[in-house]
Amino acid sequence: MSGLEETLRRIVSLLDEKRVDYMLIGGYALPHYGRVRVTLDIDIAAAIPNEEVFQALCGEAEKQGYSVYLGSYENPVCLFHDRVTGYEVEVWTRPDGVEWDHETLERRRKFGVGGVDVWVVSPEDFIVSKLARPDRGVVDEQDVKSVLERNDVKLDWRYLEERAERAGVLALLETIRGV
Amino acid sequence: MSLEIEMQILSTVKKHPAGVRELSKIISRRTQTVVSTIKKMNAAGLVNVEPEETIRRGRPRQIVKATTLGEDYLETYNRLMIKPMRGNRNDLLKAKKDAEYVNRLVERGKDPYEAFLELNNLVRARGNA
Repeated sequence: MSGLEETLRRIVSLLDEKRVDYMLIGGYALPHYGRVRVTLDIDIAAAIPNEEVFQALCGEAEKQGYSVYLGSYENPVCLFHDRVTGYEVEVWTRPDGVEWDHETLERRRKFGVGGVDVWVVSPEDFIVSKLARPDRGVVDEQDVKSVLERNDVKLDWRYLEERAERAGVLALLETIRGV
Repeated sequence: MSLEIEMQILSTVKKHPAGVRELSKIISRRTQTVVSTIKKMNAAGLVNVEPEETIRRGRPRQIVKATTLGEDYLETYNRLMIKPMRGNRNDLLKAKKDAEYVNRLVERGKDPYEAFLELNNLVRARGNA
């Protein structure tokens, strides 16, 4: 098992242990739905309901070999540095561009990665999050295009367009789709 | 430039339909430019050009009105201006090629995630070396 897979296995196991709903977002979700490219960050969106759960998660993480930076429930993201594998994981409590609700969690998909089952954001929410993030760049638009072009990824267009409309990126989505 | 003029015309006639001369004054463009742009827009279904209803004598003025399609077009343009594309057509075509490559991997029974891990591990190993 590579360092990356081990990092994923460890963080997923920690979140499962603390009964925190989560999903893989960002570049590590991409190969399931789009193209294969290099990415540096492992981003995880975690549904942490309150400060108490957040503190319990950080405490357990420290015990299991993580150093937690920006560890405040007020921050939309905090860094979990895995001292065992040397990798960093960004844990988002309020992920950029993601409408973080019950349906987002309902629609996430489970994939096997290195023998571990990992929840991954749905392709529709992945697309909208990429387009709606405030610091969207060329790479994000390319990621979206690649998801739209994958033959084996079936999209729920009604849901996608509804979410895109709400995020104010439907026109962008249509432009990218049309190329 | 012509897209910009089209949008100026649409946003003007959406508020109140106008004749060519009036439009030319409002958007500060030559009458000839406005006429040729309106012809194109009319052919594309973005505006209608209709004679003004009047009881005055003489030939009625031609009035330019936005169609529903024209209003949608304007709205889409305005939204795109708020959230402009960061990449260009070539950037997107490159991503399309990348996806086609992954489609071929999948057709051959390869797991894209394996390829992804291989690539990222390689890059990290080189970075650490």
